[in-house]
Amino acid sequence: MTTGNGSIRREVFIEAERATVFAFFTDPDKMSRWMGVSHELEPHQGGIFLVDVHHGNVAKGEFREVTPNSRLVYSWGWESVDLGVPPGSSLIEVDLVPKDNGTLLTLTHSGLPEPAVAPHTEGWIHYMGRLVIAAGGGDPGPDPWTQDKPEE
Amino acid sequence: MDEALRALADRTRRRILSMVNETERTAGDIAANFDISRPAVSQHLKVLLDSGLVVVRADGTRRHYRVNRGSMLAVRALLEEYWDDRLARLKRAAEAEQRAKGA
Repeated sequence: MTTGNGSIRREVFIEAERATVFAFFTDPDKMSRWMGVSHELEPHQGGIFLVDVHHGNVAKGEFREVTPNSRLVYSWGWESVDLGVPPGSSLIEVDLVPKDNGTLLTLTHSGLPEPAVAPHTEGWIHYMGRLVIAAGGGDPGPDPWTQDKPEE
Repeated sequence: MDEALRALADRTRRRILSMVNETERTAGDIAANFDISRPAVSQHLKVLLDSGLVVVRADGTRRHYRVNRGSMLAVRALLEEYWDDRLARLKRAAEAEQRAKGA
């Protein structure tokens, strides 16, 4: 139930072995060093992917594919923030390939709407949900998002 | 961007955004689709305008509202920045870990 066909793709070269990098996606202590403040990770197919990104804003999905040291796929959406983006509504794929003295990481975040052609506003909201994280480094003040309770 | 998020954190305003996403509509058109009062709709439209999510075009005495596509692109850019920032952090942490292992 993705909301669109848009995707964002990023590559980064890391001077570390694939196993070292892989652990940063499956070990809660390590993940906290680059994303989120608390985590529940079950890195096997169908296992829970849950990250408290910031101040109780929880991103939730499930692991779809786990190939040790090589590839990870998990779904992603918002559980605690009512922005109309349910858990599992977009997909993140991570591929690790050995290169030179390290690892080339490719991250693809798909199921995102193309902004120019988004057929309706759900796509908008999808993006905005992620801003909750983007803003995670700052002081969010009183949390306005939790005040809008779902009606359905 | 805080204002945009606050504007979105309301189901009625999200419905209004859906209505003006593909086509311009007047406040009257919008109000006709809701049970809430016309002044309440106006208040929601003001919040959306102030947040930059919606723009308005005056045509005589009528005001036509529409989603602001420029803001939409800005949001996409922010998402890309977000991943760039996270991956930079991941790179630093993983390389530090590797160096510690090698030591």
